[in-house]
Amino acid sequence: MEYQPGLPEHNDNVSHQRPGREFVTLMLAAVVLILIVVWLSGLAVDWAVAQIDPKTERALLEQFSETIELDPETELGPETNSAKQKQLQALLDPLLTCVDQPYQIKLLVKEDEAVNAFAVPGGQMWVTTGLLHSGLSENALSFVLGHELGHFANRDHLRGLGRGLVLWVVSRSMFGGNSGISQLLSPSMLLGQAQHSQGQESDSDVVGLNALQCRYGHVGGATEFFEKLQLNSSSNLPGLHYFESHPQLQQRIDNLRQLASQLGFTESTVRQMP
Amino acid sequence: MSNQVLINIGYLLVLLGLGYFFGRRAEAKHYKDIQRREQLYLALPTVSSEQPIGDISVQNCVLVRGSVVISVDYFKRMLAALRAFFGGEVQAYETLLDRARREAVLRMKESCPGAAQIINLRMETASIHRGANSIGSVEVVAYGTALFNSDSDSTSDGSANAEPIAVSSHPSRSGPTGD
Repeated sequence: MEYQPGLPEHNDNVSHQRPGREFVTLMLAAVVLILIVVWLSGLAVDWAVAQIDPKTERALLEQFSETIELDPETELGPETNSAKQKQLQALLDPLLTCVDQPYQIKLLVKEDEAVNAFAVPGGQMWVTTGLLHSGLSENALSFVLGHELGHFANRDHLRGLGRGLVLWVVSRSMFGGNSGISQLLSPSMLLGQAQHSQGQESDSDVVGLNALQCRYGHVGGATEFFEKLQLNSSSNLPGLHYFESHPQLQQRIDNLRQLASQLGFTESTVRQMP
Repeated sequence: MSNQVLINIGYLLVLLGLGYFFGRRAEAKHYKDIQRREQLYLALPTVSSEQPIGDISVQNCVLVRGSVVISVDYFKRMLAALRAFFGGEVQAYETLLDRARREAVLRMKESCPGAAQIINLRMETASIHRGANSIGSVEVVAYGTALFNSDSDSTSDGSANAEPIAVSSHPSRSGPTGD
């Protein structure tokens, strides 16, 4: 046996494919897959939410009540039991007769500069001190409360929670916990969820508008909240709104005005908060 | 919220781009170096057989080894993560392992100048990583037995110049009775 020194002409152990193209192809396939999963999980969550009545929801959430409820020491502002909250409650009570929703609403004031209100699973409605001090009229505040009641009526908080949970599980199980792939794919998830969320916000705007008409007999102040936000908002890059959880402010204002004129609702003078 | 996501994505894309650019550059440079050195050491027969090739009067033999650790770049790791979901050949890692194997063999050859041949070549591969999320590295160890014959110029390297490997030089194997 003789040794023949030599090197192979071709390296057969290495595939000569362009890795960039492979990456783009796989990434596109993953995005398509994610969008399908987001859509299907949305349907599944909607079905599941319809199966859970508010009583069961509250019972389920009681197990997690410590995380859901605000910490009374730090987050519940001094105004929780103040005259302001009583005023808010007085605004909310007549609206409850206008909006058909299955919860016993508990109103809480949250110490937060941001001008906002949230519908929390289990029937809690959080209103920020920022909203209370924003100088909105009584009608505008009623619209915001009506809008949140709309979320309860449609049980959006539960849907949002369910979708968020499903997406989290899906992205974790597909590409592992901290993987950059999950992060790279997050816009496609966000896109799927944002479109759904924007739809929910628009639906709740409609509920809020109807509640305002029911309560005051006119819809004056309906767009005041959004107009105020518009003044404070900074301009974003074009196209970015597709990924936002809320529709664009101008569009919401336009939609409300259009709907009001379609339904024959009129605007009249608003009442200022005392 | 979406601004934050855009920042994250931009950050990741920059990492990917850097990984791709530097990974490819390092790879091309390494391959060039490997090819040059493989030509240089072509004349040293290196085989996996347990017996020497041809007639050789072995004067001494030495265990020789070469090892190398090569890291995978960020881009390749991402590509492999995607591939891990869809399945199929992980081509992203092929060049990594190919380079590591060839480099390890070259280092082994370089460790025994003057050897007549290296027999019994074996290779081991190990992955070095800290959990699933860290960037992984691969270690390849190549080892074999370098044979020196009387014609070999074995003076240029200390290890090759040693006495023929004697069993008694290993305390643990110093005889059937032990210590």
